[in-house]
Amino acid sequence: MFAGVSLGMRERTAERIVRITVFVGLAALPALWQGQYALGLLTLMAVYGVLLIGLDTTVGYLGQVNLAQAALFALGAYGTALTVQAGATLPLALLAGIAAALVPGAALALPALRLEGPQFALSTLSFATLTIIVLNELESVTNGALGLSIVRPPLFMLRLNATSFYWLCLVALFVAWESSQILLKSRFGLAIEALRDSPTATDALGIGTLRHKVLAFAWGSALAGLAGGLHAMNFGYLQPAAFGYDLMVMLLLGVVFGGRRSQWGAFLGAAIVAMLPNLLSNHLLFSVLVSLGCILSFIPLIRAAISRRVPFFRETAPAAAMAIAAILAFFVPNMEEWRKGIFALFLFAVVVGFPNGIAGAMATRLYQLIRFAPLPLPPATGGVPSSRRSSGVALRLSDLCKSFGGVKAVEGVTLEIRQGETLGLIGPNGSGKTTLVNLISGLYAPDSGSVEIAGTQPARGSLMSACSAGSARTFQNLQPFYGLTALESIMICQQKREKSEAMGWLAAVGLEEKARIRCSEMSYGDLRFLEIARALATRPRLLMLDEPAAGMSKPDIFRLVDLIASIKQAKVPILLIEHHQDVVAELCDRVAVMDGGRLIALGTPHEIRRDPKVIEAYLGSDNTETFEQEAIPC
Amino acid sequence: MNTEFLALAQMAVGGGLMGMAYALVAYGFQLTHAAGKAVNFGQGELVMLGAFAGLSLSTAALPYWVSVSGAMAVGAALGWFVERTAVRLALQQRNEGWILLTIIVGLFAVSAAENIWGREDKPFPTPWPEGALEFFGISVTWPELAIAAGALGIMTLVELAKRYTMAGIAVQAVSADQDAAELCGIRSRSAISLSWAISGMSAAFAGTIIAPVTTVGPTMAASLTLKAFSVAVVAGLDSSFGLLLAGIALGATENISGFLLGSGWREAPGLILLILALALRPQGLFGKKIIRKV
Amino acid sequence: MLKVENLCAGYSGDDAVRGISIEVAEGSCVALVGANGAGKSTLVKSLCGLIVPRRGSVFFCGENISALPASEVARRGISLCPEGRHVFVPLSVEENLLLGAYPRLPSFGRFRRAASGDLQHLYEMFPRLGERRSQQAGSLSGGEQQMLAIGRVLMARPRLVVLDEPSMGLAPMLVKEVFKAISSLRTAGMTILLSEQFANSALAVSDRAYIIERGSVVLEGASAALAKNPAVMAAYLG
Repeated sequence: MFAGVSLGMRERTAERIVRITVFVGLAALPALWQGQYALGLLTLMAVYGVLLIGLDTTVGYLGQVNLAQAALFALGAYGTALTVQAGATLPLALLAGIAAALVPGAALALPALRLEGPQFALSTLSFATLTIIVLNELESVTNGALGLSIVRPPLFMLRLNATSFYWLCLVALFVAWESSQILLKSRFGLAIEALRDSPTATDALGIGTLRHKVLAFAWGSALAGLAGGLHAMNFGYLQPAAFGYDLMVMLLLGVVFGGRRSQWGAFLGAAIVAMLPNLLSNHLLFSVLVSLGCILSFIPLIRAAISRRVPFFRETAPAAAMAIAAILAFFVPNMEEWRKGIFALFLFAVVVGFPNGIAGAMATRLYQLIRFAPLPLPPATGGVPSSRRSSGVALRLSDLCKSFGGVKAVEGVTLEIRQGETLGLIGPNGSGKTTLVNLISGLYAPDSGSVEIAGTQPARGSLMSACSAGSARTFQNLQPFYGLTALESIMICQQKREKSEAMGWLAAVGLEEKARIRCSEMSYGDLRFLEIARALATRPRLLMLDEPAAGMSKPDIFRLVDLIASIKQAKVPILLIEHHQDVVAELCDRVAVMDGGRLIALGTPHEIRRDPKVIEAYLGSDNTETFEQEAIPC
Repeated sequence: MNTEFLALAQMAVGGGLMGMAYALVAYGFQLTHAAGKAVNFGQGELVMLGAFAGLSLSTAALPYWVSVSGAMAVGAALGWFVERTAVRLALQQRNEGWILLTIIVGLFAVSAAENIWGREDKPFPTPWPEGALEFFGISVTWPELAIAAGALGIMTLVELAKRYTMAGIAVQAVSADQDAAELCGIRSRSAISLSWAISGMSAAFAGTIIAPVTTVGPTMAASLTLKAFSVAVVAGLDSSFGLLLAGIALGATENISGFLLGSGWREAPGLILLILALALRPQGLFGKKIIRKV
Repeated sequence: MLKVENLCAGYSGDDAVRGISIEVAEGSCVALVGANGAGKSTLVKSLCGLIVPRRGSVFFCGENISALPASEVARRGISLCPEGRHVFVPLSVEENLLLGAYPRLPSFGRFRRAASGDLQHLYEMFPRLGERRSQQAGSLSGGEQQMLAIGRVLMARPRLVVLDEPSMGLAPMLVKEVFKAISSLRTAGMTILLSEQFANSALAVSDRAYIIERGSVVLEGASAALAKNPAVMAAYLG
């Protein structure tokens, strides 16, 4: 295999150099490629770039289909236009535009982001429609469907001609790009990546899901406002109809086309959306594009034919779409009329064939060709710190009940874990162990009874509140943050953002070598250890491990036992659900046994092993007369 | 009775009848959501294509009922097509690409309709008599009555089929528990395709009953999708009775607010209600709460 | 009748089933016994087509069924009663039972009449289900749901019944009843593959058994002999 060229610099530095080069090139373009029309297109591209970088924050990073961006863009444009009419200066008008989008955007985000998937898409769609109605109907302010005309204000006494305004837009794009990148690489951005993979885990680790979502949406709205302001000054004429459903679909598809979760993708998408009408009206250019797309989309089909297998849907569908596009482009006389349709076919092919967009596909190739210098890592400090408390109760459950439909999952559980104690929780499958942990960690609200963690009662059914009371947990079904590296996964769980401490947690679970590896590429066993490190990084006053050894190989289980022993030595109270009896016997001070939602026994591992009730719960009754067979001694 | 009240009542009745058509389109969302947890963001486009198909068939001098049945068959085929091309792969990969892909398919549908049938709105012929019936001073036209009868009729039919045929019970089983349904020998893929086909069919039928009131045109799609969505979300995706109530309420609100605030504002109160309903009760007024599992 | 050869399967990460081979002869009752997390359920799911096995093959009546989807496996006569019951919660008891017979009932028309004989037979066997035939399955208690799940499997007139953890989450009294039902199926001559964590009960109702630990078969043999083997106890309590 081709190992790739090693580049002696970090990825971020290299990216910045390329980007600055591109921007310098773009700034110089008006000198080479003259004409009002070309300049207009370039300006539009820069404006859409800002807009799409904003949209990508929600569609890409947050992973929610946001259909309100066009409306927020309109609000920004009208905000700027109205303040310009009132005599504001250029910077002030732009700020007004940002505010005009940011405030309603945040107001929408607060209720809407409690929703997921289609419901979120729908509430943003309603907001967008509502905005256009208001802009149309509030004639006294917006002049309704007739439109609003403004004259571009000077920038600090400087009259801006088309070229210098284009430069201003480029500066805005650069600033939006750079600040988005910084923001999305910060702890805040990492948290957003994390909550896309598992909102349950981000809440359970006290990172806070809703807060981050709302802020991300607000950031996207602010950029929409900025873009809107620039747009208003660029065109000088605004009409509500221009910001409707069509624009919104274009923008959304631009982001997907370019590539989600990448500023480069947003930029490419913006270039395509801005140039699109031009591309479609130029017959020659368009034919070339369609032919190219056709050839590209047929490559996987040919490959499949060569290796004699039936091609997958994701290979046939883009080819079919491009073939239809080609037929429309070459054989239909009124091709221009079919513009929207041909565009739809292109998009279909890209969304099915390259789910990561053009930038995503290019980045994959690039990583194969070039290796970047890795980020330096600080040495590990710390280790498992000892718990501050030595007396008192770490967890107190009184008469806890929870049922689902007719099935009582947890029934009247009363239990205490003392400080520094390790309590094992065992029981047959379906006996309610995980439900109990879900109740303690706040994923479920109990039907009755109470939970007290380290002396405080968290709010019922709130993961965040249970976490701030001091609980931290791992999950039986892994909830990793696939988009983050091991180190990043730990850092977002810490109170203070210290890399060396995070390295310490990784070292504690034996993963310091894998700090830079993405969770999506880690082995199952490593992810289990990483979940424990994540929980430890919140400095819990109660650690709940839900079947940590499930699916682990034998050597990993030995490592796990050593790790839990060291946590135990640090006097962190532990609630351990585990099937491997040897693990339970070795680690636990006391063992609680559940069966059918009830606590049936509590005692030392030694006592439990001899408890006839427990033996029956695990092995079943040996009173076999009902089975029409001889009794078999156990 | 005072005339202002009568006018409002007239508005409410007219809107409510139209709202039943929204409920029928929303019912299509309910069907596909139950079977595969996805909905068609281009459902309005199916309504439009169904109406156009019906129009073409009846201009080909086919009798009304034949054209409507033909439109329904076209709708069923299109519903199946959308599931196959835009939804199945994304759902297998457990991502939300289907939202984008159904939008894209809808975009293509609009473009195709513009080119095949033209951009302007066209009347849709029906065999119903001219004029209106009057109940307590409120007049109702025949096409409006046809909306009510048609929407109720189709929804009742499908609901009966869901309960009283084995195929219907199997579709319900797939929506309740896909793995368990497979274990009973039910081909869940076919069941999901069937739901999409029926959803497409009801959308096309909705087109043929809405069109006589509103006329047919490529622009009817976008606003219908949103309205039907509002109805589906407010009612929740579990209850067909809730859909009818929400549909009637939305239609009536629209007409009344259009009357009181001006025609441009007619959609605004419904949208505000929608956002509020989503924020306060995400599972819908008649929906069931979902339990998170880890 | 059923032959599993060197099967490896798992969800994510390491294989949960690591090269298991088992055989079930016609008319016998075979138990898969092991503690929680030993890989029994993964094995059962992969032989019924709910999980695609990574390696190895499954033969049923001489046909290789390892790549078939679950619905096709079910149509060939293997009926799985899944772990955790999985009854169709919103549907009635009778509809649940009818769905068990789905492949041989007409999709439209008189399906109830076509199944009436089997239904009657089943209601005689489980009178509680007969009493609650029009009740929603979700409103049944855990034990009744388990009976319903077993009933649904029987409605398919299966050639091989696979029961995955039929005792899971049930109170001891109900567990006894479930085993009573299994035992009567066996007397009726059904071929049964039973995956069960309760070793004593499972060994009591079966002819042969495989003891599974960490994804592999550690012991196999006649159930009566295994029941006396102290190694079985060790597999559980360490």
